[in-house]
Amino acid sequence: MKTMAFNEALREGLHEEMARDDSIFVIGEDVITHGGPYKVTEGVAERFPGRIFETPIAEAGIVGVGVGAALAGMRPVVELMYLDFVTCAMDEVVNQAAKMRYMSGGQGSVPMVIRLPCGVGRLLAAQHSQIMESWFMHVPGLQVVVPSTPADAKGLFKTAIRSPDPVMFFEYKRIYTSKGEVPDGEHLVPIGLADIKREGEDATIIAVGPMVQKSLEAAITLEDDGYDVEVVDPRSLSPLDTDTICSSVSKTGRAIVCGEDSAFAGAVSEIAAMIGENCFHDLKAPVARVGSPHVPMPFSAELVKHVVPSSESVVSAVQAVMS
Amino acid sequence: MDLSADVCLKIYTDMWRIRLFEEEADRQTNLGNVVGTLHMYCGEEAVATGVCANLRDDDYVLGTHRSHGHCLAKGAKSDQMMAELWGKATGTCKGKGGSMHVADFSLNMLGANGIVGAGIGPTTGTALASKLRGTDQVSVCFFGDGAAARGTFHEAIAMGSLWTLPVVYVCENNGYQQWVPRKNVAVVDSVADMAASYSIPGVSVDGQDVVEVYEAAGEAVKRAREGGGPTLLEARTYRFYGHSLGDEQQYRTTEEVDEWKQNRDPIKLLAQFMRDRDWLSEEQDESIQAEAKAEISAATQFAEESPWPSADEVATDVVAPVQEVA
Amino acid sequence: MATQFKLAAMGHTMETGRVVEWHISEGESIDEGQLLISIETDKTVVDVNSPVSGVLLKTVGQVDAEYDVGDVLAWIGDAGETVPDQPVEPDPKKQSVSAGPRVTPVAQRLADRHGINADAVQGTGPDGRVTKEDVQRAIDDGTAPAKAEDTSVPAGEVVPLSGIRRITAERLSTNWGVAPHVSEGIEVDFSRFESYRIEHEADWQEKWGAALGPNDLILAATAQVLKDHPDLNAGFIDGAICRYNEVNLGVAIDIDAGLVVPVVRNADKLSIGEIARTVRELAVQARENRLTPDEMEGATFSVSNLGGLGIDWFTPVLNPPQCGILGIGRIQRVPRYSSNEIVARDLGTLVLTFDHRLIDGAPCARFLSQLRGVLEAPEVLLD
Repeated sequence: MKTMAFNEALREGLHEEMARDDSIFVIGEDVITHGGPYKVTEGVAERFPGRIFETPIAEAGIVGVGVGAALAGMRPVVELMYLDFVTCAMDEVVNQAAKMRYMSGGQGSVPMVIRLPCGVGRLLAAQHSQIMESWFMHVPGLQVVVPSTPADAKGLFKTAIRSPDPVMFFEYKRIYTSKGEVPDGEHLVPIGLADIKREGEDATIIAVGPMVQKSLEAAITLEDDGYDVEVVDPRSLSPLDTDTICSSVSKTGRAIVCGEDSAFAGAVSEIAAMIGENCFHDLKAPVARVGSPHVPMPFSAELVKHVVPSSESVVSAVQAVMS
Repeated sequence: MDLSADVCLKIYTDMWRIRLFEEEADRQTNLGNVVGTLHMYCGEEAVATGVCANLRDDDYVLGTHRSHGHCLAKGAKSDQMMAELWGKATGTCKGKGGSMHVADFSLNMLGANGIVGAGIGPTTGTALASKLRGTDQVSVCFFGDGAAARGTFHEAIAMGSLWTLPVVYVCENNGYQQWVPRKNVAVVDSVADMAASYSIPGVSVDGQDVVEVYEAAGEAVKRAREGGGPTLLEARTYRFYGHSLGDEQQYRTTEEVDEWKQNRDPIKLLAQFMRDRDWLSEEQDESIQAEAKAEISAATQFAEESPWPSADEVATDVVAPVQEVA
Repeated sequence: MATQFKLAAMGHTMETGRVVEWHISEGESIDEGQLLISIETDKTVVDVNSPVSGVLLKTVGQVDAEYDVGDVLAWIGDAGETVPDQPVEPDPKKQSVSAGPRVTPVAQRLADRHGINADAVQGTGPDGRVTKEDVQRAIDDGTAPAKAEDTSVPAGEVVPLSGIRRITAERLSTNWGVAPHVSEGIEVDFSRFESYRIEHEADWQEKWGAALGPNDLILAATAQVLKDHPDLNAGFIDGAICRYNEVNLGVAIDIDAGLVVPVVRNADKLSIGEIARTVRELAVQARENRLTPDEMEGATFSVSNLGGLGIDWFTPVLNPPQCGILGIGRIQRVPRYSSNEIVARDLGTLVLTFDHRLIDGAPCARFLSQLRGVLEAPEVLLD
């Protein structure tokens, strides 16, 4: 085991994969200089010359090139500087990458990873702070992956790179520097498998991304109320590990689904609906959702603190459900 | 490859196959067997055949919504294509793609595309892949004059040029962006002139003259294959039918269309070119046309007799069958 | 008013910075734009100039210590100005947590289950609280101090309720609290049935594909007799008596995981042979854990037999929302008087428990009496 930061874990995973498979290449804006805006691609240009491309500001072109290269048998790792810019490439993601295999009747395959730094971090306001996981969960043909810890980041990234289908890889910017233990050696985390980050009996919190850590903090506070909560990290939103989530909710009888994105039509909504359908007879209380209000991300810190859910928001939600 | 009698005969054959396939597909729409939509390639045959005659099987081709011609010229089978248009399980894409997504990946024809301009980026990507792998494969993208308006045209060609990729960007300028003449929606008349923005050669040829197309494409393909980077090749051509099914064509006169059909039909022009050189006898001509007709009839029959896809095909090919972790 | 000098974000991903060197000492003057401090961020060291002119009143940031972006590193102001001890805006992260128990109740729960003294475990929670994670760690490491001997409570293994046990516990305890359970018993003479059984064992096997026993007889008889007692073949639903149109008998079956009660539907319309076969199939399925939800639902009345385990009689507990349940004890050959002679009789005790909200003792007595009548003259059921 080694302690490392989230972005370091991604970098280590990238280097390992690029060393073992020379069909992998990196493409994106500013990915060489300074080791990339988030330092994930640091060292790639030195160690794997000719396999990393700094592009013009052309998201549609970048993802389009990625689609073509993937169809021709390469494994592009595309970096979009902010998830928010994926809207400039939506045709390439939704109409091309996601659908190539289906439209061609299985002839084509797009093994491409699109890395999406997302969420609020520094105060960058509405066009640089979005999350939008549910947009991509909604598109058949795309896989949506959201690691919350450095270990999961590395393991999921390696699996994503090896996947034969496109992966929308969500990296919450604020946790790039968060640290955690990462196993030594070959560490892979399957796509579509949730992880129980904390076992408990009284309620199940299903938490996405940074809400995992906030839920674990909330869990300690909730111990004072006598509530022993279980925290489930889906890790993949599509495919979604409904078995692990439903087993947990059937055991505890209470579900609180938490994400930083807006709860309205967010990832938490699909999970909540799924729980309602499958676990109704085991539920002792309605399924609760914790998310941000349905507003664009404001700029001022005074406003942001009312938008992004905190561990206190999780505590309140659990207390409401338990009483 | 120098233009020879053999090459001309192959091109001529393919042009007839394309012409007859398109007309048959149209007839089948009237019979209710081909549904959805159809974008007929008639009139533009010289571009697909003139370019593809310079390509190997392992060169990549990506197309547009009007790509039956590209597929057939690249060597795809007309019966599988017809079956695809009918939506049958034996279609090139198992009935899951239809006219706008026909593809034959075994020939590196990576598909028609329903989004205008969407193929230009991916073709730049296949070219990047070839360069990274160190093969001498060439990638060709077919797109229309309307696509040159899209941001993808600009973004993709900029990168193709930046990285000196082995790609030929072929613009089929038929003068109409769907129902609107080009001059109403673009200030630049010749798409080839836009090449200057990307520091690549821009070449404009008469798209009805397959010899001109063939020679210009040959140069562009050679340049790409030898590491000289991309070319923007504009073929000025004309489509004999409407943009798609049900197009009333109020934006052009029947006189104009007839004029092109009479005097600028690429098939007639090539036939004349070959006759002038004694490369095409009357018997050969009849025989080529008869064989093409028979092939297309057989394709229709194949489509008719083929089974429909089963319900469990709905959910396959969304993602790979098993998460293969290499 | 003195100016706070805070650690600014100087890099794209900068969250923290380390103080490398102060270039001015406390008490010294400094001009705006003059080099004040060097900070290490990620991998580079950045020199930071003073944003204001004044006297460096206080250095808060220690050399080699790491601070978050936004932390106050120094105060700069006029000579002699006092500096507050706390930052003007308290850091919300550092608000003190309200005083709570030293050991969280959840941690205590886990400690109790494992017989551990939670107070002696090292706490890492807010204000040094002992959390569940701390107790679990102590258990895993083997460093958990054992609970002090408390002789008032006998030691034992604690097993949380789960699965069937938990469901049984919840349902029956809830019902016990609201339904007044009354039990009535009668002794039934099975001698006639027993003699038929001995004589016709082989025929019955051939006719009905099962060797009939007293339990089958009781089920068949109960199903028929219940038709005459609609207030007993009933359930307490939403505050009212629901008289069921069907007679579906729940038959209690003991399996390793606990008690399950699969249902013989429309038992009144089945022959005794069909009842016998159905019950045997359900028993097999129960033991193999193959009962479907359909097979477990819809009982209108239940029957439970502990005779096979040697019980003479018992007071069965109601299966909510049903009104009645019949408990069967063992059949024994005992001496009885007939006229003035002592004769051998095969006698067994049946006990009916009923919900006194829905029905009274007398009608139940009539049910039992009628039932006994059928059981003691079972020919009508055996043809």
